[in-house]
Amino acid sequence: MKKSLKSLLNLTAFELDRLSKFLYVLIGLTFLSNLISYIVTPMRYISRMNEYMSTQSASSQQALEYYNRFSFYNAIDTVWIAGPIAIGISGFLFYAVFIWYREWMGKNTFAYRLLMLPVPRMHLYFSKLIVIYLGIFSLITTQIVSLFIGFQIVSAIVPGEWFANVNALQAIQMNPLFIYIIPVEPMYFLGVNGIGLVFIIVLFTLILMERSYSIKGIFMGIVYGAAALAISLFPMLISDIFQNQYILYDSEIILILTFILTLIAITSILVSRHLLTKKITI
Amino acid sequence: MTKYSKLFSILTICLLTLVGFTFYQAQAESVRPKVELVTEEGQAEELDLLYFLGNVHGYDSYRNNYNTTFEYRNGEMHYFDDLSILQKVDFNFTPRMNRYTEDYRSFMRGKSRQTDHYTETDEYLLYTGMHSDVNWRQFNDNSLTISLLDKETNEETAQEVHLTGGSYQSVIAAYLDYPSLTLVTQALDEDSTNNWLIYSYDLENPQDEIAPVINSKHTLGSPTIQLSDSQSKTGRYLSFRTLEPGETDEYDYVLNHTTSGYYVYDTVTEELKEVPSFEEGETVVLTEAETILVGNDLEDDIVWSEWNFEDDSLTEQGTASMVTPTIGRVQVHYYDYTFNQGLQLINGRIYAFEEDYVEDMSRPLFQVIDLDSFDTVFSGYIGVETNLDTSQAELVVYEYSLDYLLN
Repeated sequence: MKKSLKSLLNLTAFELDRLSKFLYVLIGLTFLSNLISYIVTPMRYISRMNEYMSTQSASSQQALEYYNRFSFYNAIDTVWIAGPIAIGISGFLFYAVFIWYREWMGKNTFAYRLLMLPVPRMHLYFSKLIVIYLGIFSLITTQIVSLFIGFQIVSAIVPGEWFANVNALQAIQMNPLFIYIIPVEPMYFLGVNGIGLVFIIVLFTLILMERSYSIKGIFMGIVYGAAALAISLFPMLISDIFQNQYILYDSEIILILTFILTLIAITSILVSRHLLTKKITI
Repeated sequence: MTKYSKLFSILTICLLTLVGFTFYQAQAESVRPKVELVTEEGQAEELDLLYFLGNVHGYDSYRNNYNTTFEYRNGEMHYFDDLSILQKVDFNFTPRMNRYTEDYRSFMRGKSRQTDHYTETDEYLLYTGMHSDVNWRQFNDNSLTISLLDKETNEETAQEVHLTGGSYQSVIAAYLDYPSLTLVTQALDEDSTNNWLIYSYDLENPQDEIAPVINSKHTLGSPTIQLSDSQSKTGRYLSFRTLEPGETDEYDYVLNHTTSGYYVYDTVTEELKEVPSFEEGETVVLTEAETILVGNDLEDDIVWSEWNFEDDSLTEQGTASMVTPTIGRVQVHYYDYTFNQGLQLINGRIYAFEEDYVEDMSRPLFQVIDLDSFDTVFSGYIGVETNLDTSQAELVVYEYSLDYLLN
């Protein structure tokens, strides 16, 4: 194995070890919360059906006409599913900041030891970036696995004649939330993850600016972040600039946006490299 | 390797799950219902000009929905789901616009996406849209953009014209017989009521400002006027009908409207004449090129006659049996600005459309009549063949049009 790749792998494995507790908590929370949804939602439906049949002296068919069949979609369109996803997204946003600051804010200035390692400093940067994305993809994987297990649980709980014939995949495809976080529509999935990646790369640059220039760095970071945001929003303003709503085709706006985001990501990595190798202080 | 085991395990699980999910999804049976053209009489090729968008909505219980949007063109169904993401974002839900943006992408840049704003002939593609149609922040100041694309040379010429005679003008149709252009607009009158204005313009003699040749409301004296908009927009004649308020309720609310007359406008002589009416049955008026066809609608049959604009003579041509007593005679409300849109006369064929229902399921019907023999050369419907466990599937056809230059 090449020495530089080995050092990157070592650092990534090290960062993953440090992330693992946090990640396991999020995975556990996702499974637990989803499990509640897979059990509570169909149970509540069954109880409502039974109650309707007993209070109204109605047949199963009449109750079905009133409440409709229960589908797996009903079990996954709940806060118990959306909640852990929201916690996971905000958790990793927090971790993207924490992953840098803990090197300086810990009991010992661990940053000193990390920066003195005989490896390229950008390996530190990339190991942190990789591990955050590995964590995000672990949660996505957890969600996918959970949904297919959940389908078995829900179909076992709900009586066959009350269960709508919608399979796990159809239910996933119908839920608008999953279009963005699960590769139901690969281009949406790549788009959302691409925007997220650029966001984290820019965030890393802002953190390194603050670490390099202290108070002055905060202002530099605000200006840099605002500039990156303004440039990213530029394609949406083209129609206003030209006073013509149809001056660009929507596909062209997407291609321009992709180009701009790529440019922002490359610029941010280059700025981060400069800061990390030349400016950062311990 | 032990220190990397966690890293590689997580990486492997993630990759396997994501690849597995993508593969499973690709392999899974498609949930979309299939849509097909069912021929009951004649040849399906007769309907090759037909161009429409449709949507099938299937459901088996509350919230378990399946939606499939498709486009029918060149005699085939094209499913929206099969388009790439970039094609999807450029997709127009007006079918002819898709062909224009595909074939004349550069010309279409900066122009609105409303079918009414385009007229196509074998030689030209004409755009007539107000400034405010493309600049949504701009107040409609009655400034019109006229752009003409010469299909052979790919040369585009643009002109700016100010329309007088009404405010808040919007172009409803433009009829082209190069270099003569007849514009039909809707505008607000001085009393803020809707009105039809007709303008005549010479594309080879640009003007800064034009005044209407006809102010329909003043000429016809009716508060409600509707236009029968031909698909080809190259004919010499335009037909209108006037409506009068019928019964009113105790609050003076108009309960119904009755047709008070049919009129034809000659774009060459700039004259407007009333079409003779029939003693029995409704009237339908279709125009193409130099022909004005007047139909006496007897429900199961329509007796077609050719009307001579010059001498007012009506010559019976033949009787066409309609597959249903209502096909082609789409119900029009007084607030609609067009009528006759379920019947179109193109290349010597009458195309009729109807939104039919069978067992609560929508089933769009089509009929094509040959004007030489007045025989039905096609009749059929759009059917849904579903592989879902659906108790119902709804089919909606919209933006139905006949792309007469498609072949």
